[in-house]
Amino acid sequence: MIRRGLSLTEIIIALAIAVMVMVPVTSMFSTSGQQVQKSRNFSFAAGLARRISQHLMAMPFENIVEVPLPGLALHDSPDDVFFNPIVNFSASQSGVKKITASDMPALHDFLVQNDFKYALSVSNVSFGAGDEIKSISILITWKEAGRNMIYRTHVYVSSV
Amino acid sequence: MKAQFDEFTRRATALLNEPGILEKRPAWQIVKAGAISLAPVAENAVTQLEPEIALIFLLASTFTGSKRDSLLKSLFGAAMNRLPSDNFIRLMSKFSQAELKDNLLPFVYESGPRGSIACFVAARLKVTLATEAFQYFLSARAWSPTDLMNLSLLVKPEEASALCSHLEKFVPANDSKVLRDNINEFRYAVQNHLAHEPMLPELADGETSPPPSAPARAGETMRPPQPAPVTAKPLAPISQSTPSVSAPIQTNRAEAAGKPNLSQKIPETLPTEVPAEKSEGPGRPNQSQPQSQAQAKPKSESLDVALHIPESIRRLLLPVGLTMLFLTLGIIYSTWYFSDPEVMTSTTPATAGRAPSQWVDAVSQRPVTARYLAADKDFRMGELFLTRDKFAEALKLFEDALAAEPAHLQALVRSGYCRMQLGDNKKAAEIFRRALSADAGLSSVNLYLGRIHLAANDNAAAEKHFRAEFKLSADLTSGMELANFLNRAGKQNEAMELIAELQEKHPGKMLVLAPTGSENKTERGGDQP
Repeated sequence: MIRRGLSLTEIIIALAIAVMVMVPVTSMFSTSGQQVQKSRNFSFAAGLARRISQHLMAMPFENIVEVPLPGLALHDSPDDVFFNPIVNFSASQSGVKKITASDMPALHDFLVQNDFKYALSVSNVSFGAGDEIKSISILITWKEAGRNMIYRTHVYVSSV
Repeated sequence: MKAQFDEFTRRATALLNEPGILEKRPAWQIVKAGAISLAPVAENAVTQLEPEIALIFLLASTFTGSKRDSLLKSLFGAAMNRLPSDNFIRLMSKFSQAELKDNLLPFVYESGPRGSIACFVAARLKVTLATEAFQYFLSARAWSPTDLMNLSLLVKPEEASALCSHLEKFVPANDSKVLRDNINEFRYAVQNHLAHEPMLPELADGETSPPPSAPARAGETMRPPQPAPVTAKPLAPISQSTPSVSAPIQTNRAEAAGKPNLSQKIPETLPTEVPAEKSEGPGRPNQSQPQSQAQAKPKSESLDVALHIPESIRRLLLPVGLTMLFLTLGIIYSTWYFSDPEVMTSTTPATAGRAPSQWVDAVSQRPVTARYLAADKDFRMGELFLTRDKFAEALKLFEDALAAEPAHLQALVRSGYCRMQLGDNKKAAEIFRRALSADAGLSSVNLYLGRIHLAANDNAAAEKHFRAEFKLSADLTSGMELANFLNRAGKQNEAMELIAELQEKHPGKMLVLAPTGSENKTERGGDQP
C-alpha cells in the first residue's frame, strides 16, 4: 500500500532547501535595503549642505558665524536662517512651514529617526583694508545603522 | 474450440502489451471480432480463459442484460478466490459502476477471503455505496479491521457524517456484541477518515498471489508492495461467542499514531482464538489479534510522521508552513530593519548635546575624528593665506593643523609647499618624502620634488620624479613640466614626442616647449595639489 504523508527526511530536506533559498534572499533584501537607506541619507545630506551654502552666499558676511559640533538638530530646532521656515507657500506668515511634527510630520519623523544635524566651522581671515575671507566648512551629521555619519563641504565667502 | 481460445488468448495478450487507452489500441478491433466469434461459447470462455483474458472477452463482447451479468458474476466469483492482479483490477475499472455494484459487491457479503478480496477490489475501484447499504454489509459477516478500513472507503465522503448518525441509531437495536463492535469500529474509521488507500486483505499464503498459471503481465510489476503473508490459516467462521478474526497484515496509520485502533499490537505468542469478551475500552473495542510468533510481522521501521488530519489539509501543510515561516521571518526582519534604535539614543539626555568622538565620512567611508576636524579648520585658514601668497602665515597654520592631527596629509603637503616657496628646499624635500611614504599616490608631490632636485642640479632624481608625477596625474601641467625638463636635458626628440602627444589630447591649446636657456617658471595657482 502506498503510504501518503510527509516523512521526517522530506521535511528536513524541504526545510534545508527553504533555508538555502531564504538566506540569500534575506541578505539580498538586507543589502539592497541598506543601500537604499544609505543613498537616501547621502542625497539628503548633500541637499542640506547645498541649501546651507546657497544661504551663506546670500546672507550678510558678518552673520556667518560658527555653529559648533554636535550642531543643530534640524527637527524642532529654533528658528534659523537655513531651515526655519523651510518653505513659505504665501506672501504672509500664514503659509510658513517649519520642520515640526505638526507642520511637516513626514520630514520631521525622518529627521528625528536619523538625527540629522548641521554644524558650521568658520575661519575668518582679514588681509586688511576690508579684504576678508571666510572659509566655512559645512558639516552635516546623521546616524545610520548605528554609525555616526558626516558629510563635509567647504565654501569661501569674501567680504568684498 | 481450443484453437479458438488459444487464438483469442494470443490476440488479447497482444492487446494487453500495447500501450494507450484500451479501446484505442490497434488490437482492440481484432479482439472484439474474436469475442464475437466466441459468443456462442461464452460460458466456456469465461471459465476456461485466464481471468484477465476472460475479462477482456467480456469487455469486448456485445452481451447485454442478464447474460452479461451472469457472465460477469461468474468471472468475478472465480477471480475473487485469489487476490487479482493490478492488470485485472484496471480492466475491471472499464466496467460501469452499476455493473460493478451488481456483480462484484455481492461477494463482499461472503465471509472468508472472497469477501475480503471483493471489498479490497471494490475499494480500489472506488465503488461507492448508499448509506443504507452498510448496515447490511456489517451485519452479514465478521469483519477484520482491514476489511472495515476497505469498507469505509466505499462511503461517499459527503455522506460520512450521515452514515455515522445512521449507524449510531442502528447499534442499540442489535444484541450481538460482535456486530456492535464492528459498527463502532467502522463508524470510528469513517468519522476520522482513517483509511486513505485500500489495504491488502488478510489472506493466507496461497491467496495473495495470482494463479501461477497466469501469463506474465506488465502490470504485475506495478503491484503495490505486499507485506509478508501470514501463515496459511483459513479464517475461522464467525460464532456468537467466540468470534475470530485473522491477524492484520499491515499496520495502519492509527497504530503509528498510538490512537485507539482497529488492530492492536500483536503479542508475541497468542492462542489462535481469543474470546470476544477480552475486548475492552470505552467506546472503542480492543481486539486482540490471534497470531503465532511466526505469523507476526515486525512493524516496519518508518520515519513517517503520521498526521491524522484530512488528506487535503495535510498536502497543504508544507507549502503553507513554509509560507508562514517566510512571512514570520520577513515580519521579524522588517521590524528589526525599520526599527530606529537611534531615535532612542538621540533623544536620551546622556547623549544629547555631546558630539561623538568619531564619524564616518559619507564620501570616503574613512573615519573622521573631532581632532581631524579641528586640524582641518586650521588647514582651511592656511589655504586662505595661500590665496594671497602669504606663505609664512600659511605655513604656521598648516603646522598648527599638523600639530593637532599629524595624519592630515593635505596640511603636510601644503607645509612643504610653503617651505619650498620660502626657499627651504631641504626641509621641503624631507616633508614631501614623508608625505609620499604615507601615500605614494599624492598628486603634485613628485612635481615639487622634481623641481627641488632640478634646482639642486640633480637631473636624474628630477627626471625620476617628473616621470612619476606624469604617470600619476597624466595631466597637462605635469606633462609640460616633464617635456620642458627633457628638452633642457638634451632629450629633444622625446620632449617633442611628448608635446605632440599632449597636443593631441588637448587640441584647444597651443603647446610649445620653453626655450632651453630659460628658467622653468611656474605659476603658483596652476600647480597646487
